[in-house]
Amino acid sequence: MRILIIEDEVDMANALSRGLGTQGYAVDIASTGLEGLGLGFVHNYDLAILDLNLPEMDGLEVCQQLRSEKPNLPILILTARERLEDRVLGLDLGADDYLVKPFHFDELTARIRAILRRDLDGRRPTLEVGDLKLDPRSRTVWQGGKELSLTKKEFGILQHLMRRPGKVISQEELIEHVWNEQVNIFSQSIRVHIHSLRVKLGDSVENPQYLETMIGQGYRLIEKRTNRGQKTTE
Amino acid sequence: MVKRQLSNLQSWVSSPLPLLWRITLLTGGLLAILGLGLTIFTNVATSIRIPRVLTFDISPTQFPDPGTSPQDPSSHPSPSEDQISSQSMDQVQEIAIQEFRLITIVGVLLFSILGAFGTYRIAKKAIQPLQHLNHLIAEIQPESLDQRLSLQRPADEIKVLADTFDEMLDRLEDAFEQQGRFIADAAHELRTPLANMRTNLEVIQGDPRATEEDFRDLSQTFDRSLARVENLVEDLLLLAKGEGQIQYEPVCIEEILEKVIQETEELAQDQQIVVKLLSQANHVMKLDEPLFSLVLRNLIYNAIQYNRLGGSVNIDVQNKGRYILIKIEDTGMGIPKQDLPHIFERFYRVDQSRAKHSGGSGLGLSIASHIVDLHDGYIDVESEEGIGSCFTVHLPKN
Repeated sequence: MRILIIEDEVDMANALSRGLGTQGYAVDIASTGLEGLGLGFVHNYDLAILDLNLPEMDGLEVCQQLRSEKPNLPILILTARERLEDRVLGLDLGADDYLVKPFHFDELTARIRAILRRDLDGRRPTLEVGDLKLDPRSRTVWQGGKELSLTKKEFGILQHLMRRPGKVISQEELIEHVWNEQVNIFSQSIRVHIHSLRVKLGDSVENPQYLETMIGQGYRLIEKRTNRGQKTTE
Repeated sequence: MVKRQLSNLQSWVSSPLPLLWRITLLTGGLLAILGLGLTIFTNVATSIRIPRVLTFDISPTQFPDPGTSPQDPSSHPSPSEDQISSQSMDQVQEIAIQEFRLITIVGVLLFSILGAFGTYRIAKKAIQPLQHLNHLIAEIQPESLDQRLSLQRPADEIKVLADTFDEMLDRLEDAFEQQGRFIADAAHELRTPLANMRTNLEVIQGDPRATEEDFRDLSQTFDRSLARVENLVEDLLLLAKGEGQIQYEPVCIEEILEKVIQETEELAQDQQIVVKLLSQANHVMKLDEPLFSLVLRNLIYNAIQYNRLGGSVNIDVQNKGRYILIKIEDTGMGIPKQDLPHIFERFYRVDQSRAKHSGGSGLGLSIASHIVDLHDGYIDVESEEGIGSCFTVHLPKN
C-alpha cells in the first residue's frame, strides 16, 4: 500500500512517514500543494493524506484537482482547520475522510485501514483468499491457521495480490504500490521478493497453488482455492 | 438635582406607556386643550360682543309702540319697566351664553375624544411597520448575522431606519467574521505544533525498535514545537494589550534603533544586508520602551528577512508637522498591490511558504500596528514589487 503525504510541516511529515513506514506502507512526501499534485498525477497511490494550509496552492484546491484527475484515489484530509465549514467543504470537494490535528496516530492508521477496505468486495477487516488470511491491523498472515513470518515487502506484495484475487497484476503495478519514490526498483528485485514469498508459502513455480506467474504479464493469486477455502470455513 | 428629578419624572411618565397610547393621549390632550382654548376665546368674545349686538338689534322690538300696548295706561313707558325688561333680557342673554358655553365645552370634549380615537387609528397604522420591524430584528441572533431586513417599502423614515440597521448588520457581521477568523487562525497556529509533538511522540512510542537517537530527535522536535507555542502565546498576549498597560517614559528613538540594529546584525550579515541609520539627531519621546522596541524590531526584521541578498535597509527619523516619522526602507521583493491593504491583518501572509520558513507567527505586523495604535500613532506602507517597501511609523509629538 502506497501513501502520498502532502504536508508542509516538516516535523509532521517526517513523523507520519516514519510511523506509516513502520506499519509497512510505502510513503512519499510532498511539501507543497503543487508538488503534491505532481506526484499524485504521476503515481498510482492507494491513498493521499492532505494538509489544507499549504504553500503555493491551498489544500482544498489540491483535493479538487486530485479528485478530478484520479477519481478512485482515496483522500484523507489531515488538518488543524476544525471549523464546520471547512470539514463540510473538504468532504464535499471529494475527500473521503477528515481528521483534525492534533489526532492520535492509532486513529489515523485505523481510518486509513477503513478507507482502504472500501474498494474491496467485502469490507471485512481481514483479507481472506483460500486458506490464506491477512490482518492489516496486526500485520500478520496465516496460512491455514499457521502464522507466516514475512518481510515488509513480502507482506506488501501479498496484501496487494490478496486485494485483487484472480486478477493479473503487473510487475509495474506491484512496484507502484509497494515501493516509494526514493527506491529505484527493477523487475529483477520484484522477482527476488516473489521467490522468497513462494518459498515461505511452500509454493512452486511449476505447479502453483497460490502464486501464478503469467509470463510477460505479471502475477496472479489463484482464486479457485478461494471457493474451496470458503466452503471449508463455512 | 431638580433637573434630574424632573427628567426622572418625565421618564416615569413617558416610559411605561407604549408609543401608540402616548401619541393618542398626547394628541387627544392637545386637541382638548386647543378646543378648550378656542371655546374660551369664542365665549369671551361672545360675552363681550354679543350683548352689544343684541342691544342694538333687539332694542326696537323690546321697546314696543306705546299705542299698541293695551296694558300700558300711560303713553310713556316707565323707566322701571325699561329696567325690568332690560334686566330680563340680560338674564336671557346670560342663559343663552351659558347654554352656548356648555354646548361648546361638550362639543370640544366630544370632538377631542373623536380626534383622539382617530389619532389612535392613524398612529396604529403608522406604527405597524415598526412592530413588523421589531419582529424581524428580534429574530436576528449572533449565528444568523447574515440575515438582512431588506424592507420593501417606499423610501420613508422606517425604510431609512431599516436600511441603516442593515448597514449596521453588515459591519457587525464583518467584525464577527474577523473575530471568528482570528480565533480559528489562532487555534490553527496552536494546534499545528501540538499536533507535531503528539504525532512524533506516538510514532516513537509505537515503534518497539526506536533507538536513543530517535528519542534525541524527538526531544528536538519538542523543543522546536514548544518554542512555537510559546512565541504564539506571547504574541497573542501582546495583541490583547490595552491602553492601560502602556507605561510611558522619555526615550531616545535613535538609541532604540541602534539597539535593535545590533540585535538583528547576525541575520543581516547572513543575508549580506547593510542596515544604516541615517538620522544623526536625538529625538526624545514619551513611549513604552519595551513595546516600542518590539515594533521597530518587527519592522527591521521584516526589512532584512524579505530583502534580496546583498540589499540594504535605510532607517531615518524625521520631524514633520505634528508627527515624528520613523522610516524603514528596504530593497526587497516588495509587496504585491492586492496584498497591501491586508498586511496588518492578523495571520495574513503574503506568501505562505516564505513566512513559514521564517518561523514567524504571521502576527508581527499586526502587533506592530497595534502597539503604534496604542501610542495614538499609525503605520503606513509604500511598496513596489521588485524594488522594495517603505514602512513609516507616525508618532504624534505630544
